[in-house]
Amino acid sequence: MSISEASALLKKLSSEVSSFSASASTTLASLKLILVDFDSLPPLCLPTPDSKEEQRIACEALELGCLLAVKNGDGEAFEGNTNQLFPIYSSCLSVPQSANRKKVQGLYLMFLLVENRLADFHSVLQTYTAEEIGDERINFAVLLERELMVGSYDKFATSSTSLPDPLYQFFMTSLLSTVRDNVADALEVSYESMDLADAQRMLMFQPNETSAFESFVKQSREDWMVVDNEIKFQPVVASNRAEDIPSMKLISQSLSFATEIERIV
Amino acid sequence: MIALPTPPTSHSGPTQSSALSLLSMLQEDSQPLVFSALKKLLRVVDTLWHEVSASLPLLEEIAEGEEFPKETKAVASAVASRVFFHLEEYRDSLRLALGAGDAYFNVVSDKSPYVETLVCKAIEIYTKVSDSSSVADDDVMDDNVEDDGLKDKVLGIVEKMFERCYSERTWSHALGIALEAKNIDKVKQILEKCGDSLNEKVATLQYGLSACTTVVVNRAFRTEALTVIGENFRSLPESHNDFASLVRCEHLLGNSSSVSEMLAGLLKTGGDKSLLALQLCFDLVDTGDQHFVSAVTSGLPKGDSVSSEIKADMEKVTAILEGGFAGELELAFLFKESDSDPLIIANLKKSLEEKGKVASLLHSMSLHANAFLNAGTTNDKFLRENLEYLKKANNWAKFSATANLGCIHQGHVTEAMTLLEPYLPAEGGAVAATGGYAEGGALMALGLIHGKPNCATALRTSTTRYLRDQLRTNSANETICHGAALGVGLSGLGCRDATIFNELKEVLYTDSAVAGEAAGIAMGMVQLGNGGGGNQEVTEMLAYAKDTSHEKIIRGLSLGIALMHYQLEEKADGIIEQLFRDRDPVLRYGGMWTVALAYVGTGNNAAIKKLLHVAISDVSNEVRMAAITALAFVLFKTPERVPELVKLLLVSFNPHVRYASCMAVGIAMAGSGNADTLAILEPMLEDLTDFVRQGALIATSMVMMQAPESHKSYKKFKSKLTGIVGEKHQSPLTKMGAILGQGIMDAGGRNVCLNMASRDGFVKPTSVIGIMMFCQHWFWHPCCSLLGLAFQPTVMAGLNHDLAFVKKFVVTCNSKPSAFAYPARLVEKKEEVKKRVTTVSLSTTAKAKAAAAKKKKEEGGDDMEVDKKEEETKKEGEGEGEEEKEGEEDSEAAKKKKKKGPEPKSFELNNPSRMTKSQVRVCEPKPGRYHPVLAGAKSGIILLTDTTPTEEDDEVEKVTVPSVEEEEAKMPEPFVWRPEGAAPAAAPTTTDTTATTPTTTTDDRAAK
Repeated sequence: MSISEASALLKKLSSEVSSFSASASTTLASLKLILVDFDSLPPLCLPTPDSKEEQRIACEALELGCLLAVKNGDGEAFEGNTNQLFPIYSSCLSVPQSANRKKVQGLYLMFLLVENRLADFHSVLQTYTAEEIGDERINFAVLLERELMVGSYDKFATSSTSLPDPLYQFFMTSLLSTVRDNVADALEVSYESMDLADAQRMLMFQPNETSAFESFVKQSREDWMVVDNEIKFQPVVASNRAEDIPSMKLISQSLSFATEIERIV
Repeated sequence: MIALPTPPTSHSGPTQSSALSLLSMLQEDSQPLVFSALKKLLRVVDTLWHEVSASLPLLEEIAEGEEFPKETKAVASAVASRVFFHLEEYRDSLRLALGAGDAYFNVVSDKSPYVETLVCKAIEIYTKVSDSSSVADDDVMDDNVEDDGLKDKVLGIVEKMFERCYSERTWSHALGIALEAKNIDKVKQILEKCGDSLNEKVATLQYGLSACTTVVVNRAFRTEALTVIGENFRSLPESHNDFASLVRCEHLLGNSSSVSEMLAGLLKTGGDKSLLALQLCFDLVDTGDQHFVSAVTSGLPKGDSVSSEIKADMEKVTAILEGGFAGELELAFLFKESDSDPLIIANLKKSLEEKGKVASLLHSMSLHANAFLNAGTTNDKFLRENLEYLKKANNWAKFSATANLGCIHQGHVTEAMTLLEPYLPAEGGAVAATGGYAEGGALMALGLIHGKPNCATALRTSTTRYLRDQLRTNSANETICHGAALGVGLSGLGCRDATIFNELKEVLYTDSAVAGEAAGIAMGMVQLGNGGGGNQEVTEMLAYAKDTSHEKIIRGLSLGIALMHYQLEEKADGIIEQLFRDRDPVLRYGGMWTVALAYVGTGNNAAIKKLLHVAISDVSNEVRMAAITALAFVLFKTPERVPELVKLLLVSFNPHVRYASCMAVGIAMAGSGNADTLAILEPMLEDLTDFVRQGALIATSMVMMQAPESHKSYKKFKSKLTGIVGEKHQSPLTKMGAILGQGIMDAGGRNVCLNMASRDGFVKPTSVIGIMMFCQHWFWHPCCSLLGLAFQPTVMAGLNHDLAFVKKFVVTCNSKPSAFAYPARLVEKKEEVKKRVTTVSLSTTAKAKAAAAKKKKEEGGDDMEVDKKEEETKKEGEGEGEEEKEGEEDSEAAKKKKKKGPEPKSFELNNPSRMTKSQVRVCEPKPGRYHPVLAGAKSGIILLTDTTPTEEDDEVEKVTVPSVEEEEAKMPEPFVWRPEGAAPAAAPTTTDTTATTPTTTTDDRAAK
């Protein structure tokens, strides 16, 4: 009974997601309530008569859930869904490939990039097959990561114009601001002052985005001062000095060690 | 009941499994989803707890937050509790399990490891919480025990556990918990509930009694619990009562009057009950609690209107309690059964004399060793035969030499004065200002002879009076004063007589170092265990100790203070604290001994902690030594813990610490022959520091006391002991250890063992004092002699109603004869020396026995004769006429021996015999005409019931005390054993031996 109920709900969810209906989340929640009682899913993975069907429904439902979360711009929900989805991928190898699978896999990599969880990024990448990595949607994230790591931020700017799927835009926007922050940090220490126009270009604002640039400077870089078309960066705070060494603490520690050694029998 | 988690083996899917999906569901908004996820988590948490542990904060939030329904919170608690359980964080686990409630944590029916562990934890917390008096430094006593209301919930759990115990009738479990938690109401409740089955109740009460003496640390509660147990014992019907336990209980409570009443009642009943009364009296005397015994005696009714039979029994009781009958019996046993080997001391003397002049230290030690070897056996032959050697002792060595007579003649109260006459101070003679060493030693010897509380009370009192007179008249001579003061202390041990105390105080106030030291110790002995709670006398002693400039006096006083706090436990804490903080190391030294004596045998953890702290932190070596040695006293009831505790101290860089660790191990494990202990002492025998070697030698010989020759380390150690004495370059201190070791190892004719406890588990004050004083030999060599007090005869003696040995009573020992045999005697190497000592042997094979019996029968001897002869087989002390026959028998047995295969699996012990500590386990009275009146009594003095009392039994032997009035027993003729067809000179070393000294000597004497 529940399996038929689940497939009905899945159909409903699928149409709701594509039509971007507001009721999609509730449908997903009620579907999950059914899914949680399926013993064929991880962590139990017990063989049940309908295990294949159950696993398929669970996969597709959760994939839809992921896409829905991205559409809603809800990173947390996206992660929750992938956490529920990926164990199925790794435990239930017989699950058929769905249309959305590679997209979700690629999006997940993007998500990890945004979160700057590079270790996770690479360990997840290890679980993908060569065929999967070859896919455009996944490969995009892989290339992007490479560019970011080498620091070729300009290449990154160009790739942001050729997205494999519109859903990637959500993550690209956050990535851009992350990159921008990195660049700004570098500027601060490298220059004492800089021309406004140069700075705008360096921070990857289009020439027509002057207002966005100005608000960025005002809001996220409060210590930058704009004087005569130039940005003055604050001098770097001096690093720790000798007096910051916890000498008293070290001395008392050594003394107590000495007494203890005295006592060792 | 929750569903058990599916074990991982039943998974059919890929082995790789993850709870990640479920965990991520916990963050979903939908509450029903969270609930379902949690329920599923509970099924897998036992295998996937490592993953779940990362989400513990979330789980706790759900469990303790407000937003989720109750049911969800319970599951979350259950999941979290199990994760904590796997992480071994039992406290948190318990807290959450209690939150989860009965559905997930069912203590009554669920017996999984999870529940059992948590219940243990709950009980632990329960006992800690209810025991609010204990120091709150334990990790269990976190601040939040009260905060989060855990206490009440724990109470609920424990209550359920009690219910479970009741329904399963495991009363001792419940009683144990109640005792540990110091909950007297529960104790009462349990004892009430188990009352419907008398047998169970008796068992529970017995358990409670032993638990009270071993587990319950707090003195006040112990008294309370014992009172309850005592009441319950008394309320039992007579048919089921365990009188021995009741007496023990009343003794612990100090209720002498009810013991007297009970004894009187038993005597009135007569028959077996009066036998039982006699047995109880022997047990009472064995505890060594002089104070209690005399109180019981005075409480006995002096009825004249009773029948003559009861009157006779009453007289016996008085003889046992007051008349020193037990002491006489021990003396008779030690004298008769002594296996003291005269060659040990003779060889020792020879190897000392080999290099010409004997160093006075070693000379004096050899005399100590002789005293140990013959302690209590009254055998002073070596001294009589070697007067020249003896004369070499000067000054204090002379003092010890004379004092050693007391050690040898210990308990020989009837003739103490005659024996020591030549040495005692002359009547009315002028008091010499110097000298008087022999006189002082003799006075101390008098004290030693009367030191054990099982000797006649009247004689003790008169001796104390005599010694006090001597103390007064010889006050000008500090040596005599020293001996007299110690003598008074020993003979008046624990009498709490204020006059004696004041007399000793006068000696103290003369401010003479030597006399003052003895006076300080003696003051403590007189007021043994009478110093608690800001006692005026203690304050005075302490004040004087701070006043005087003599270190010896301070030491004497601090030891005296220690003695005054004997067994006072918590009551001594005040003075202990004060002494611990003192700037004078000698007083701190006394503080350590105060802990040792106040907590002797309690195993109190707080005391051990204190001692260990001092052992590694004090600046004075002596204080450290005392602290470590004290560990052996506190822990003597669980001796195995001592080697464990001091194992690290044994490898200390400080030689004093190493020395003391050796001594602690030796004292604790004395007579055990434990292989592990010997293994940890072994490297110490080769230590770089001479006195550490000394300590190791003494300790090893303590451990090897009464070890049979078949013991793995026996030969090696024995040859080491003798070897060291002869070594040219060995340090005198090490030699001293080897000499004392020889004495200790074969002490008391191989029939005694160092033991601080009586057979009933009471602490014996004399033994404790003996060992404590022996440890003082570090400062004062004459203290060695006092070790004699700590030797306890390991005797098995069966007595009938007339208090005579019953020969027909035999004990079967289920082990190889060689496991408990006396070691063979040494064989003199030189040919011309008369061959008195040859290996003697008791026929052990059933075959040989049967053959011997048959032979005897043929010769017309009756059954009883056979028994007797068997015992005496191959002893050389027989008369001329017997000798031939004996010879024949020997050869007969030897022939059998050649044929026989492996050793027999069991053998029989005659009455009386030596029965070592470890031997008791494997012994069983052989069923026969006589059986012990107290079922289960195996060692010590056993009263026997006669199943056929009407039948005459002429095979009984009265207890006879050896006497010096008569000449020494005639030496047997030289006797060479010649097997048929063998070379005449062959010594029968191959024969299996169970050597005993001639029993006939006493008979000879009696005949005279």
